[in-house]
Amino acid sequence: MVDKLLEFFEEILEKDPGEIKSHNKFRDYEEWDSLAYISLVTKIDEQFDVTIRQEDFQSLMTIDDIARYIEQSRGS
Amino acid sequence: MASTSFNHVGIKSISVAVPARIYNNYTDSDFFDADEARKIVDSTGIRQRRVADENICASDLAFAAAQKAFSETGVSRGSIDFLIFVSQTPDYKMPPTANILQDRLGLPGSCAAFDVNLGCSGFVYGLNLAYSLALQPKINKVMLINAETRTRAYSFKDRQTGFLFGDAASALIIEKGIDYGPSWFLMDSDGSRHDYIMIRSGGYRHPSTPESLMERTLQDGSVRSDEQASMNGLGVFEFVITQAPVHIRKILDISGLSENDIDWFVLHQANLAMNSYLIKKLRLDPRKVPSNLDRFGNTSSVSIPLTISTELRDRVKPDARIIISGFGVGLSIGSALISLNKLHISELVEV
Repeated sequence: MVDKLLEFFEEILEKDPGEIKSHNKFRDYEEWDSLAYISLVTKIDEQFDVTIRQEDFQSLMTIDDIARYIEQSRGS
Repeated sequence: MASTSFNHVGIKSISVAVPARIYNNYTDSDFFDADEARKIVDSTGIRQRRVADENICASDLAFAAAQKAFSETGVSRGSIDFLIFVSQTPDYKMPPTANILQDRLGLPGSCAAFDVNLGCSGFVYGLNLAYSLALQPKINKVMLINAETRTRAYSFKDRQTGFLFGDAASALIIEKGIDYGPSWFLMDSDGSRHDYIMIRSGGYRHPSTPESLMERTLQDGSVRSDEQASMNGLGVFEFVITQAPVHIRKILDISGLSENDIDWFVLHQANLAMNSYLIKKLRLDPRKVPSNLDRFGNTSSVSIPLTISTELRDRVKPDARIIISGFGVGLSIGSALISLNKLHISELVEV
């Protein structure tokens, strides 16, 4: 799952493969904006059938956090 | 989900009025420069919208739409037993705008007139109410009006909302009839997110003060007062892409119909990204999902009848089945599958 999320981030933030690490704080990238957020939540919804409630998303700092959230949502 | 179903009741006519004044989102902003405006417009898909002059209120647009409905259908004013006025930009806090219209339209004193305070889901909720009332044995016809001067509620200097909204009104005549096919409605609320779209001050919780009227500059450079609406656009986006597909699939399920049986899917015109994603997620044929967002923007509860009026007037077949879905402030969502029977759609009226 983390690999798929990394792929999403590379595409959305227009980064080279391997450039983004799963422990990076994705909000630190200057390309991160509201359109990036919309792209990300729709990709996650499509791929994993999970929508992340916006208040919950605020507390997710890294791609690892997002992966954990998705796993927990799918498990519940 | 609150779920209702009806038979032998339907929409006789749809008439819509908009202000004649066209506001060009690319060029008409005094606050955002051309580059910024272009960026915002390209992401929302709203190139222009209709903006009412200062002296035009929601009831003025509603009056024009309703007059058109009476003149084109030949329905007598005396046959209207209920007048429902759905709006969040009424002429006054009190009295209800419905009563002002009852008088101005020449409807009899026997007509029960009342307002409903709902936004983008309000067409579906209003239609559900109108169908319920029209089926009563002693009721002849119901007029459902949705009317908004939504551009007054938001700051034109707000990056989140200043380019989205347009003004419009629709008037529908609802009646019983053996030839009207079945319809199904679903409605849900999420009050835990009531602050996602909100005018914080100017009501009775936080009354109007000189401070609440004062414009403030926000972190993103937007400027608005506490008496202008704020929106958590990303939160609303997440709500809609989660809830709307569930509604539409559920409606198909309870009606026993498939996507192929539906002629049109008319979604609330919120913004391009949202509706494009709903089409993708539900795997809808984009040709069956009409849009006028680029020319009229988000007209709140009027957007569904406005889209039917401008996009389907010459294309809808007499017995078409349409799925409609409206979602927004509340938060609130309503969807329905409606069966048409020779629906009359008026030409757009400009005020």
